[in-house]
Amino acid sequence: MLKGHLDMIVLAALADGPAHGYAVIQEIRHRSGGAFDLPEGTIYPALHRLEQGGLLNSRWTAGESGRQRRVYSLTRSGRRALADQRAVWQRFAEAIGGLLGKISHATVRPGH
Amino acid sequence: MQPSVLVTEYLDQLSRELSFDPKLSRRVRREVEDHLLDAIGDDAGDDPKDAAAIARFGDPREIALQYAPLALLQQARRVGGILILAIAAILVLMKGRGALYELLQWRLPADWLGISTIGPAIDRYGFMVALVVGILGWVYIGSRRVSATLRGGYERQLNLCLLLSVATASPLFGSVITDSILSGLRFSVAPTSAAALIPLTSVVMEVGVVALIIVQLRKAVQRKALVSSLFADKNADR
Repeated sequence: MLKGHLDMIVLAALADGPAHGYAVIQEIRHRSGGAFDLPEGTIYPALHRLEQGGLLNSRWTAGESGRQRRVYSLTRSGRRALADQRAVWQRFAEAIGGLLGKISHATVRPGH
Repeated sequence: MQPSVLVTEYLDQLSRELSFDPKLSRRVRREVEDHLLDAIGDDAGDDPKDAAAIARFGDPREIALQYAPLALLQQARRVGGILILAIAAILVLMKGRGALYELLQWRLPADWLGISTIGPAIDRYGFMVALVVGILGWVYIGSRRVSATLRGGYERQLNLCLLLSVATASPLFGSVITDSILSGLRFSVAPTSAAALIPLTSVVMEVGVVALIIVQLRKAVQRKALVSSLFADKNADR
């Protein structure tokens, strides 16, 4: 299930500003409270795919350690895509929330 | 900070798995090296730490396999785009040359009846077939969406992209070869003049365009074959 939403998760992790791959993974782990502990290597193909799709930009910069690192940032299309996916996800979450609420009432009923 | 032997071996393996796209392979290697050095931190050279960072990163074959669908589609799109541009360029060159032959009155001798009727027909119809198939192929390739995996349906789509490219290129090559032969025959009967340099240059340009198509098509077929052989067992598992 997580794999199907990987693009949205990566876009969300970059919403606060540019970051390199390792920082994106740390951000995902931190913001999900450790729940999304993906194999780290899966992030890079996703970043590459999103960049080729025009949702991210990237450039090489010199890090604090002096090493060259590729930093990714959202493009305008990326921000729009994230906003769209966020709205879809919120509607989905509300619908599931409502449904599960009803199911829990229904399962309680036979026990009356 | 230099990567340890363990990390270097891992990066070498990842580079090999990504050998279907050398440019991508170099880029990913640099990026993953930076990532692993970050993950290992100040404990570089400590084998357990290095091994743990590598394990967290994942199997290099699995990672490379995730890059393959986009790499193959990009190559197919590149070939499709080059074919459309080539068709447009060859059309302009052919029309320009035809107009110049008319202007200079460089006609094929009437007693070469077979050549002067069959040759231009092969040239014209070959070009028209290439144009129609090329446009259909370009629309088809452009409408493909990248898949997360190389599973059956997507692989069939990529094969069809290649097939359409070959089906476009073949009649185009036939058309260019015929046109070049006809031009050669015209030169053989035309009076020697500096004006011949113009059609000669345009024929050379057409041959150059054909060479570019062959190089790109070859690259696309090789990349597809390499991916299929590299990940044959992975695809079979899926």
